[in-house]
Amino acid sequence: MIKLNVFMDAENEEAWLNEQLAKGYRCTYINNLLCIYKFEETTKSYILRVDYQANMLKEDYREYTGIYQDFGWHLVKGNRHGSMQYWQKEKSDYNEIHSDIESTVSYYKRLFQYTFMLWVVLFVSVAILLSMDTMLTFHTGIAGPNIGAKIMLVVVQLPLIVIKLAPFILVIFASISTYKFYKKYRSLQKQ
Amino acid sequence: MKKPEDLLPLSETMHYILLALREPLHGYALMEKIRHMSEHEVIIAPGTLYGALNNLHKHGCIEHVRQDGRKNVYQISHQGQDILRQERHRLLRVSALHDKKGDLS
Repeated sequence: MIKLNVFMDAENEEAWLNEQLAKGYRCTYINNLLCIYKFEETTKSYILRVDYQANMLKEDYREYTGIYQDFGWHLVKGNRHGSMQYWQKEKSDYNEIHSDIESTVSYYKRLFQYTFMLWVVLFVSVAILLSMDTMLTFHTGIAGPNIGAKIMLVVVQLPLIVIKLAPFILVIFASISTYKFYKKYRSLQKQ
Repeated sequence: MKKPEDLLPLSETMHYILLALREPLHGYALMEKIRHMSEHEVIIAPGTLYGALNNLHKHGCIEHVRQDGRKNVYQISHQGQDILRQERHRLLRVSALHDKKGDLS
């Protein structure tokens, strides 16, 4: 089964993935750039956890993945060059990847840094789009009072309109999740 | 390198890791040992274990003794033992206050 979905919030993504797993699936492939998620039917029940790690040395990444694997987790997607890490395993009594407040705080700090970086990238692309004003104009005027032709024109341009508006929508969602992770990180840190 | 004293007072996870690493161990064995030591009260998850080992190593409290296949085997360092001593003094002081009923001035 292949599903398409866009997430600007790692927590929502993890919750959505676990909803799919609860329906009797196992995640086999993730490409978050193309928003593709592949699942396979299974009789066992699986759990998935999302982590983010900044750029790591080869040895550090080997150590990081080695520890998770020893604990029974399997890496669905992730690399050592500042990437989201998707860990999956069969459900058992121990389904968490963090067991104390200190590491949960550092997890939210990393998520905040990641979504903030994402926000900057999106913000810059929106700024570039705005500076090229031709990108934002749509052809609405056509000679003659032909309403049908006007509607046709809008319909033809609809995919283009969606593509042009996407960065604006994404930047709003990225702002919301950046703020959410920052707040979560700060409030846990105070405990 | 960061100062080992920055880790004081020790978090429960780090405290157990330092105590368990008085004998050389790799990650998973370390978790198992801590589970027994704490009578199943402290069960460390992999993300927490990786982060704590990384942090203790950066602060010079543990050292890498050898490679066991793909796994790193760690042991407490002299600085780590020193940190444990300081933490023990702190806890004994607090614990003495628990025993001293009534007059705490």
